[in-house]
Amino acid sequence: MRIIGVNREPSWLIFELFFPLLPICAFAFVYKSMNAPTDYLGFVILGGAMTAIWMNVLWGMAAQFFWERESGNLTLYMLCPMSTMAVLIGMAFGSAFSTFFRVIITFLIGKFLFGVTLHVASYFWLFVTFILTIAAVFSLGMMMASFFLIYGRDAWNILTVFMEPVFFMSGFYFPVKTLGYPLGALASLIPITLGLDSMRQLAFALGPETAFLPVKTEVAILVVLTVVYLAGAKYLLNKLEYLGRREGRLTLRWQ
Amino acid sequence: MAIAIKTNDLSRTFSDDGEKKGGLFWALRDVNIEIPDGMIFGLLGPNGAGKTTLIKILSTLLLPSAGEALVAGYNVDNEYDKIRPVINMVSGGENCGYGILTVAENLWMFTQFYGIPTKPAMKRIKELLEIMNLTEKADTKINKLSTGMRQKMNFIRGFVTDPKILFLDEPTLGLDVNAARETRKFVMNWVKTAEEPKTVILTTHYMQEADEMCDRLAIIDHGKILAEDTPRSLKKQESGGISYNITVGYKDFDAEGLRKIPGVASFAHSVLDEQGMIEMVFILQTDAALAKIIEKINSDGFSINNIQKTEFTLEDAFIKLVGRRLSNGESDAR
Amino acid sequence: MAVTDTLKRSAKVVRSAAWLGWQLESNWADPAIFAIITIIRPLASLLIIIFMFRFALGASASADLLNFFFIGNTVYLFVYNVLFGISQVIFEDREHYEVIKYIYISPVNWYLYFIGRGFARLIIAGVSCVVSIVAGLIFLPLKFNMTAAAVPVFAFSFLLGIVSIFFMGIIMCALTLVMARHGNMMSESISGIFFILCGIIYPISALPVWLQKISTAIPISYWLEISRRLILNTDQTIDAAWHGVSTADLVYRLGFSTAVLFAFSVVFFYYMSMLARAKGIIDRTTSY
Repeated sequence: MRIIGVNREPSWLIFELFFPLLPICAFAFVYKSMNAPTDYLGFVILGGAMTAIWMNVLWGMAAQFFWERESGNLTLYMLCPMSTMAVLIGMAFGSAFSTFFRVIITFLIGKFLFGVTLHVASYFWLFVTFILTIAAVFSLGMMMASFFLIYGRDAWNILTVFMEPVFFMSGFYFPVKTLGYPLGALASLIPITLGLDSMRQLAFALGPETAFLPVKTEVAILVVLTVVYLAGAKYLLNKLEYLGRREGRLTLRWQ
Repeated sequence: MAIAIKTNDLSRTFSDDGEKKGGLFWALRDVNIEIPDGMIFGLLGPNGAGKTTLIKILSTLLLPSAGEALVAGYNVDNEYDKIRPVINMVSGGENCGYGILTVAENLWMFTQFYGIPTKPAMKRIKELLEIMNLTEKADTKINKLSTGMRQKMNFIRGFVTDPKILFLDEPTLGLDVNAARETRKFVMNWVKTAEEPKTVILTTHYMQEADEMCDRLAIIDHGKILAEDTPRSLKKQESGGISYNITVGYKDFDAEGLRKIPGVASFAHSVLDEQGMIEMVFILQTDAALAKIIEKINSDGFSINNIQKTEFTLEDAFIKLVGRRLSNGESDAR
Repeated sequence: MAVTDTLKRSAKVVRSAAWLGWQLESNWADPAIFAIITIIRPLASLLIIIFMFRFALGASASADLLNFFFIGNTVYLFVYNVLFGISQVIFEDREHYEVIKYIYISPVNWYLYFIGRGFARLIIAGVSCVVSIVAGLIFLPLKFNMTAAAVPVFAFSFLLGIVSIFFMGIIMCALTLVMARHGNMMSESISGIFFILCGIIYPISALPVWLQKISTAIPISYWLEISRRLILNTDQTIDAAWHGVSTADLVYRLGFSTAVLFAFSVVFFYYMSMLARAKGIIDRTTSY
């Protein structure tokens, strides 16, 4: 449904693809203006590509319940004999279409506008870290979605407000090692932090110099995070759906 | 008497699904109406007939594709800034305010957009809240209100600016029977007792509501005005026959056969319940045709539950003109 | 008399719209939480750049560079907030609260209504700006060398800068009138154009030449350079794109480009609102 909706409104091409690339370019220009090594620009490009995925999970999945409730669809979902988690994953995959294109275009910009080149140390581990990062991020997204079952505009605003702090803490535009170990450890609770750090280590020549933790350690932590967030999502979705129903908040609109 | 609304060959088209092929959907086609000041004018028509499109054009929300529309003497095309201070609109069955503001705050805010000073605005809000039995909800945020209460607030929003011309698009949708009755009474009273003439343009799905409230009615279908007169005259004009309501347990009936019975002027039907009970409305030229209808139904092997000879109603006139019942688009007739 | 009445009425519209905007922005949470949230976002964006500098340059990051970036980032708070605030109004009124048709058919001046709705975000930007300056003074080697004589010019250019963002917001608003809802994406992203073009966090001279040409036509670029020169009390900053252009000249250019923007915003807004009315999409909702 989301794919069809998106395709029937061609203006999405501008807003979902073109505009989100601008801040990425801006951050790349920052390094360029400092005459930093090209790999640093690559760090930004990779961070920018992961931003697209993070935003998809945040707005295409977690916050989607907000719009569903506003349009009255949430009640219909709740009435259907299907898993809420399946609905959420479906939604995220629906908008994965535009996300995929954005990731591709981000890399093309990196390659052709900023001359970024990859030096992949291990394609296998790069693939593993990418998949694990996605799994952990999706699980976290589902956990966040549960809050939209009882909260409306306030949860929406909190999500908006924490965008920049997450960009900062997760090291979207600089290696998380720069934050120092205590802050970096805290930031590792957001799966994209370690995912990015591993992928930078594996994809860029200067990556290993900026490593926060060894790749294999980061992979192990990502596995743990996936399991914990998945269990948390299941528990919270059930719990908050029950609360929402008890307090009549599943149908509270126009907040 | 001054003219509140006048349209000359008013038309509106939209691109339909065949847009790529240049396909056009005529929402309104050559509509000519003239509504004098100080009356309640009804627009009756099935879904998609063009009622809302007409109201949207007259309320300056939409531009016509062709023709002309004058509201309070001004052209909707380029004199909309003169029209807006004297009109307002209430649509039923939708959201109508900022959920996190209270009822009173929402209403006050709209008065500010009309340039009404706060003191008289608050006085008027208070009066209307009392009339609509909503005083105790004045300080409640509207996302905490029931659908009916929200609709009442929306209704007050329409009147709070004391418009000269008010568009009511299904205004009682979502209201319970009592509230709807109160609302109708209020509108009629507002028009009758106003110091300056007030005009109401009303669309409704409730035939009785139209019959009770409207001084004049236009029946609209497929974007065209089929008839326009007082409810009484419409009934009289179209009442070339006797109306019968017949209820049968008769799911797969022979509509064509019934229609062809000599003496049947018009015929429509609708499903009454899940068991397949059908209500048929016949307009007959003479009583003699009734015997043939009963014979036909019986010979098809079905039993008649109820037969009722009815007064010729507005709905009968509607069926005769439009070819189907207002509340049920699946029926047919001739 | 008629002029006074019109002005009074206009002021009333802006005031009520600003009141409404503030209610919608601030009413959803406890005021204390609202205050914290107003602080977190600008701090985080400030920290992102500081850490980028720290990562790329280490201890060698010059005070000039940090000052340059800091002023840009602080001014951008206004750009981002006001643009975000105004461009969201259509989506909020049309899709969320479904009141847009009632406001549209009222005699309210729509242009002024949107300006009014942007004020709430201007206040938020002001608070964020103060927070950012305090944080900057604590953590960065900032120099505030503005002379007393420069204050009126600074205030005037600041006012022009703010006004120009409002006009840009109106242009975005006009665009959203004929567009479907794109969640938060659009508002978040569109201010990125200015982020990249106007030399917010790096000198315009770092851009390719063809982009520099676009940059030097946007009022925000002038506003930023004027602010930097006056705050740092210098005739030129590290941005080579402005070398050879006097501060007075920059102020004239800011004034002229703002006036052009105003004229364009009025015409464009009128055209787009008539287009939306002609297409019958003033009150449409995006149902996906």
